[in-house]
Amino acid sequence: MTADETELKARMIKALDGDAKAYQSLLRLLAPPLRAYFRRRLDGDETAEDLVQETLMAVHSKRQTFDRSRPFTAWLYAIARYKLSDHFRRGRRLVGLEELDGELAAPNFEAASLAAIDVERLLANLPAKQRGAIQATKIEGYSLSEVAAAARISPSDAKMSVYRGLKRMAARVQGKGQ
Amino acid sequence: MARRLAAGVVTGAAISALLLIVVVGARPNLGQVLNSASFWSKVAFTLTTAAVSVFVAARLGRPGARISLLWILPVPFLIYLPVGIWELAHTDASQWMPLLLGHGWKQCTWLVLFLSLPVYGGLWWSFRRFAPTHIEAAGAVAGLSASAVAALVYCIHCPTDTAVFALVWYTLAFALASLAGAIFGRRTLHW
Repeated sequence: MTADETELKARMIKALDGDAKAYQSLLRLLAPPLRAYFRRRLDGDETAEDLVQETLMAVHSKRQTFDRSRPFTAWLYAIARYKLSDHFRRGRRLVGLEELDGELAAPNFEAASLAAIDVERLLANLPAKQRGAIQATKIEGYSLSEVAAAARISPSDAKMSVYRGLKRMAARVQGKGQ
Repeated sequence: MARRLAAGVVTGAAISALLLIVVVGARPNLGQVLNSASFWSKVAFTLTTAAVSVFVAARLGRPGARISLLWILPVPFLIYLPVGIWELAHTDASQWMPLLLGHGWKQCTWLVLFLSLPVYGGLWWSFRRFAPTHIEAAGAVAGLSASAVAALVYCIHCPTDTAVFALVWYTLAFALASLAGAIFGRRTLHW
């Protein structure tokens, strides 16, 4: 169920005027669209749920900054966008440390390299479409929609290619394939 | 939101005024300048800068505020600028330096910055409940607001009423305070 601007705004105004019931239902209504918003942008990252919670908390603690003469959804997504960019900023700050940690804590560099070679060998046995989709999404880090656009296929087709390819690779690793 | 901002600014300004009176005192001829146009035009410059920047700060405290609003900040300066040019045009070039340096140029910028600290504190207290999405801009405008309010308070003491003086030294204080506010804001205004 999705509620529209007028409905959400009416609930927000009631909530600001002290209607606890309207407030409860508002927060309930906000969670699904926010979840969709973050999932779409984080591409399956499980931090999407954290960001939904953070945004709902900000909606609560910063509710006085909502201007009743302006659209509610614009306000809401400004908060969501801020939380998302904050998440990316934090991520970038942490990457340096994580990489360093990885360097220090990986005495088995050789094993890691062999694993990479294994993956390449597994990939080489896939049909070109599946191989390309997996390489782009799982190794190079592109989103499904970017891959789909580049290969001129639909996003669901790209998703299916990734899924089938991974399944086939898994089967080969477990010795079932071919 | 407006009430919280007003509370922060007014409390800060009151502390600034108190500090000013305790540390350097009011100008001895304050009673006489109350009917001087140059005194009031200086007050108008600081007051309008303060009003415009507090207004923009209030807007930047809301999520999704447009950064394009910043263009109104220099408007008081641009309105006051012709007064300074007029002063220069009506003064012999040999007297331009005294016009610029006034009676207290050495302490003016620093005193305004010092007096802006309590106001910045009050603004910062208000901003903790706000949700700025342009952190640096919000910090800079908070710094500008603080220094403009401080300059307004400083008019109680400042012995120089020329526009050239205020346009240069007050504006220098505004610029430094905006810069400091942006740097401080980036570290402390996250939510």
